[in-house]
Amino acid sequence: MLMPKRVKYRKKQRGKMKGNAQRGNSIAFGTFALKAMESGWITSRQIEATRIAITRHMKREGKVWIRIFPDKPVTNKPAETRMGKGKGSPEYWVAVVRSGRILFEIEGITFAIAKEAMRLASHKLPIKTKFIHNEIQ
Amino acid sequence: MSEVVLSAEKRIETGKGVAGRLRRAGRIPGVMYGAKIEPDAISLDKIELGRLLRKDHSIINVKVGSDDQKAVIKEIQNHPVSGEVTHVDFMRVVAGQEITVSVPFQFVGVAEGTKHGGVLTTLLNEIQISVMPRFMPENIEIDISKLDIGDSIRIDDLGLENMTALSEGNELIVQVVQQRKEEVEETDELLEDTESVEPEVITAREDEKESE
Repeated sequence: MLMPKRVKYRKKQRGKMKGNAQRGNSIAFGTFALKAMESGWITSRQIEATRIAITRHMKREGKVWIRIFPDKPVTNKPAETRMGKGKGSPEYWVAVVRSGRILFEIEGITFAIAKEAMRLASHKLPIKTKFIHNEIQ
Repeated sequence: MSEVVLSAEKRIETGKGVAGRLRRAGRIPGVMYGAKIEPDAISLDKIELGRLLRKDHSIINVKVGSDDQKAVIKEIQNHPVSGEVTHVDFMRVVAGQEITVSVPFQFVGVAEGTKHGGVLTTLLNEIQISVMPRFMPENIEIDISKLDIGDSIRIDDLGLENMTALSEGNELIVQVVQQRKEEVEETDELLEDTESVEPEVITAREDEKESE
């Protein structure tokens, strides 16, 4: 599962997700891509599940690029704990995705297979997405 | 070299408020610069521009009012979510003066290697060239039908005539690589393994490290 090797701080504040993706909003490597139409947090488990869904449908042909990385730790307090006593412990990692961000890119397969792979992939994600092609962005 | 005509209107007001009103009215704001003349703020019809961008083009004859100006598209800005064109930069072309433009590649044929289990990987979709306006191509055709597994095409292999490529000559454009077989179901186990591992904290103090 994706997570950073080294971090500057163990815990982070939640932050805001204002506006659209100002970078990473166009296809850079592949021919087909999945674009985020909403903003949200994508966990490393969701990224992994999506990647597996894509590669399985592509029957391990072609090439897949993951354009997002979960570099934000999310903390949780243990169940039935009184409030206070500091911030909880890091539980999982998320990627902050703003609308317009390219999430996954693929290459080396036909249009029909790519479209179906991305449809299956979109069901693993908590946000609305759109399938795009290199020429009809 | 084909020449297309595009009609534009000069706009006096500039700024994001004006640009927004223009877009809502079905026009796209743009700018025309170059040839040591003061830049002009212009606006174009959205449908006409869309029609132009869908097909190949090189030099565009932009009609700003009664004035005809030869130009090339230097930059297109798209909306991050919808992908719609939000702004266009035109650069005026002066006959006999070299211009620097990026020209897209057009790949022709089906690579031989893909029939034998290879994957065609495109590393460059366009190239920056320095060219005289009269030699400016709409696109650069590349025949990929003879590419077998392990073969590649570099900028040097293109044999460009009447133009100079501004990228490194050994830069890869397209290659056919052997399909990499992934380990089957390697990932499901991996999920559990890395669950509890925490990354190294760079700013952690020595006493904190010891207590962990």
